[in-house]
Amino acid sequence: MQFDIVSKVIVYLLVTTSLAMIGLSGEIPLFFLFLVAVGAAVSWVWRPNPTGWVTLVWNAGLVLILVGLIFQSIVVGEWLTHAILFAMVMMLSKLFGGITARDYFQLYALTFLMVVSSAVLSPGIEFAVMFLVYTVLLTWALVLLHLRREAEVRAEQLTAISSGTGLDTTPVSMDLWKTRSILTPRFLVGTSVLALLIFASSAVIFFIFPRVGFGFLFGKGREGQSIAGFSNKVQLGHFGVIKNNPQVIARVEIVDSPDGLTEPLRLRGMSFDHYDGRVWSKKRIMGENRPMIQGRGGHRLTYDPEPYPGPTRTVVQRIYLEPLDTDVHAVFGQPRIDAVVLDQSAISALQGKARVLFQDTLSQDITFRGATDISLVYDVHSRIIPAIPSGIDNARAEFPSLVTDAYLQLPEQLNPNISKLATTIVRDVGDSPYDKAAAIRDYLLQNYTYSLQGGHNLGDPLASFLFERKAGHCEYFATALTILLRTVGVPARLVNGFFGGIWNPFGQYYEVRQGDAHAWVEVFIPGAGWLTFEPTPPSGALGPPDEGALSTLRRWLDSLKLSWYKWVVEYDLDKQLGVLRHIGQSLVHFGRELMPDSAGVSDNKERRMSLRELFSSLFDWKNFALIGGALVVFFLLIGFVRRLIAFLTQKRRVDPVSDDVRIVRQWWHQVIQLSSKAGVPITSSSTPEDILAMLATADLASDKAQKIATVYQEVRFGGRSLRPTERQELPRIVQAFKKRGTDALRARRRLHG
Amino acid sequence: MTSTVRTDLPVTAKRKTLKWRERLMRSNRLFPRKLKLTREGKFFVFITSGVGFAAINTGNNLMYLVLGMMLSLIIVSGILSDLSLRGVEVVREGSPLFTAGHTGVLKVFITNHKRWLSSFSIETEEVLDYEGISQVPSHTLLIGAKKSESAFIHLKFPVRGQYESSGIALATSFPFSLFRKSRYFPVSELFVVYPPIFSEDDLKFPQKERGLDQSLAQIGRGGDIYGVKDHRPGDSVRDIHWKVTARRGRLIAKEYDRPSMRAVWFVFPNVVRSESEIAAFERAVVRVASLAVAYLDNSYQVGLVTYDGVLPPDAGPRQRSRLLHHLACLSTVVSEGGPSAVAPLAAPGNVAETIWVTHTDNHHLGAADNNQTIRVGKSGLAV
Repeated sequence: MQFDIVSKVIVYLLVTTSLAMIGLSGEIPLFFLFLVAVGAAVSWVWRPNPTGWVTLVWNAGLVLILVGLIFQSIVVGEWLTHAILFAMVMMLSKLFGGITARDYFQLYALTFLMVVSSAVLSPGIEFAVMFLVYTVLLTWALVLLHLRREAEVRAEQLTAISSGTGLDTTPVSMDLWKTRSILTPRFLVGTSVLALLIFASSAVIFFIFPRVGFGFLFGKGREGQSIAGFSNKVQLGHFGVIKNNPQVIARVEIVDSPDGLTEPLRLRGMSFDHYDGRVWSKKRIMGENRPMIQGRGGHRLTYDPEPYPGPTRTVVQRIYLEPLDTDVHAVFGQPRIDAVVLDQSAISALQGKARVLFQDTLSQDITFRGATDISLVYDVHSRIIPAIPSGIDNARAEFPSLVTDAYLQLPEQLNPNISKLATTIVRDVGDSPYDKAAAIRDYLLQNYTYSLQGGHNLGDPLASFLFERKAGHCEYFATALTILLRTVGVPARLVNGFFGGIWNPFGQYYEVRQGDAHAWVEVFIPGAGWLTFEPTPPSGALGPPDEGALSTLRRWLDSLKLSWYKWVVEYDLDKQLGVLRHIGQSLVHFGRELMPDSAGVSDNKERRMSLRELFSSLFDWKNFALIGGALVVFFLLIGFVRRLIAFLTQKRRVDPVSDDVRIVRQWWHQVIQLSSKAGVPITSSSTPEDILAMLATADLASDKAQKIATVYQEVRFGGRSLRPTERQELPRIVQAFKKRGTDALRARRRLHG
Repeated sequence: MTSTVRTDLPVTAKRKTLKWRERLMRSNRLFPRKLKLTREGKFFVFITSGVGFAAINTGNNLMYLVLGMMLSLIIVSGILSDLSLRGVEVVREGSPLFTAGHTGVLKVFITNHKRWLSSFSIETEEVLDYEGISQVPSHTLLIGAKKSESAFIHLKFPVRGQYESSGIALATSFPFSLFRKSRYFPVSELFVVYPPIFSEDDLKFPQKERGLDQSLAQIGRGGDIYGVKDHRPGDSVRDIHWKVTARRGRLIAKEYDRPSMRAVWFVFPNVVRSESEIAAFERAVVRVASLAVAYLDNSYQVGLVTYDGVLPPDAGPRQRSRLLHHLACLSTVVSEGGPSAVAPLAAPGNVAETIWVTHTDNHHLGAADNNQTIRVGKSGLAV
């Protein structure tokens, strides 16, 4: 029974894991998942008797479901989802059905189908965890299946060979029974280590398997949950909802500076030229589709750098963008982008359309063509301005007509007090657009406070902000600065994107959250181009704080998530070559360290130091912690499964051997031992009476042996308890019998010389 | 009448002709381990190929991970099965004797010489290249490191004869039943398969009416005391001659007189006219064996005369083995003229009874007039 129970537990765990994996993808309706889970639970305790009509109805039901799902697939599409649904129904059918090795194998195949589907639908790090669990369970399951199959095949063969010959086929059932002897905790630990080896081997194969895609079918790229937060229009008053949302929408690595930037991260998304009094939108687009050029490192598009008189610094950012629920797929990056590089996987993810990027030459916004609800990885080269150069405030207010046409627009119903306010603020400032912008920005920073509270007059939210509440969030500040500047003739535009983010020290990257969504202003300064102005008070510009032990844990998990995406989901030929190159270089370096250097690096201490560095770089403590943690979790899981099995088998396992039986067995065993010494041929089928009879022929039978045999049979098979007198007497009788028997044997040996 | 005596026909089942691929695969030098896909293994490899194709096509890295797991299962399966078979030795125990059409058991002793590692799911089977043999390999679930286990191979041979096993194959499909890996040990062994024995009732034993079923004196007990001998372990204490024991100062056992026994000769010309008679001939062999055993069981001394030789009359279990062995290895001489065309057979010496057994209608075999002749019909019964 133990074998069957262990098999059953493993099978149900395997089914549960595969259902959980497919459930995580979010493609299967929760109600359906729930139904299947309930069905599986029922099948644990109840299985229908497979009589003729039950099988007929069951099979007919399966055919009907199949036809229904095919029909729905034709009508609705989504073949994969419907195939998964049918696989789940089949899984249930198998759980309610057979118990042969073949049935078990088919059940495993169905769970495997779930895992493969999950790999397509749910690429998150949850897949990694569940996949590890699945690998362990599958290893156990396959080993148990092997034992079951061996027993079944042997049973078939023995039945066939012994048909008509009357050969006893008891050994067949014994084979399965004998598996009790190997289904020990040691066996479970052994197979668990085996499972870990398989998982480790899977990882090695994963990394070394050549990534050469033939591409008969297009890759779909990584899909995920779409996130709101960045929009192609800005409506005042709709911001507070997402400001506190900690969901990460992008991760940004600074390629040349692994420790991050000195200044806060600012990812520019889109700019807006038109304000109708409530909503910012984009009216003027002057752009062109520009093809990307394939070169080293992927497909690259270079933009003409905007002329800037002062010093600039190029910053390369690698952006891992989550799927965004937007109409337009903006290329995010620090302002003043001069190059975008996409690798092959991003091109594939966008189904080739990303070979063309659209650049709006007026607003400098860059957008992708193609689907927006997929994740992307790309590099952005930005030329950032470290400091405003001196003399820029002397720039004269002479603007190109293209700029003034687009960026001096004002709403038709603009509150006249706004113009008056702007004039008042810049009254004492010279003609320099820079000075005007700085003056209005400073005015806003000094006189207005940051608030996420609503309550503005939605009919004219800007006037409400400026003259009534004097508090608002970044969109109010940015709108105020832009409109105030436009009223005094300085071209300005509202820009949205993300600002701040959290530095993740574990993965050395910025986590950009939905709550980091931000709006600011770009002002056109003749001679310098569009410069960024931040009118929002610092307390509001940055996203919500993220501190405490829980946040540290969250960051660590997020870094794992990024590593998963970087090294598993987005692993490609370039990375593969990089890994191999790195291993090669490490080995060469290691070899050099070990070999004596003829040129004279003879200082052993120095060599030891560098070796230590090499090892420490190879075996980072974080990796050890990760592996150690995984091992601890793994062994805890094994312990849990063992306890579960013990719990499940507790009630059914009847221990037939009471203490009394154990005692009489020992007594009887001593009789058998003596009989064997005397040459009495005892077989497994010899009864106590047979043994007594044979003892009689060997002249060893006595009343004592008869007494021991009687008590043994009555207690062992008659179910009675040992009497207190017997407990005292029998040991003496056994000893006396042994002594007499041993003496007789000795005497016989002496007689035979 | 001219007669042609051809070479003897094989007495065993037909040998299989091995294909070149099978011969090549059996070479231990070229292929020290043999690998065969099971049904599940074929399915698994097919699915692995599918996942590999999907991974390469779509570039989905999680598919590559799943592919990695499947390839790992294959690799680990190969390594573990190899480790299971490595350092394992198998020895046949006892001299194997089988009866045609009956399942017999061959005991083997398997030793795992590895110092640390156990061997799992070891199957042992005889490599017998004959048609019609049924075999169930022995199956040993676990052989611990430096331990031995005994196991049993079940064998059923179709006809009597001598079967030469070309070796023993060890196999395992541990741990996942995806592949069956085997090793071949070229240790040949000759299996002698006796003809089957039928009971007197089944055979319509012809001597029943003549009082042959009456029990004669039992061997070894109930007669006069023939002499005494030293008592050995295993001798019954009831046989101890206490007086002599007391006189000599050591245990002395009684020996009993052997009762006088009747003798019978079986004359069996192992000649057929053509190969089409072989089935009838084989039935006659079964007939001879069954009758001879029946006479032996009734305390007769039984002798046998065939063209292969003469087995002098004797009684007891050893004679039974000698007779059955002779019949098991009996060749079949083909003579176009039938039994009458070859030199006549005769029971040597002056014996009271001679029983002729033949599968043909030709009774003229040179038999003495007062002796009975048994012809064996299609059913194997006397006609």
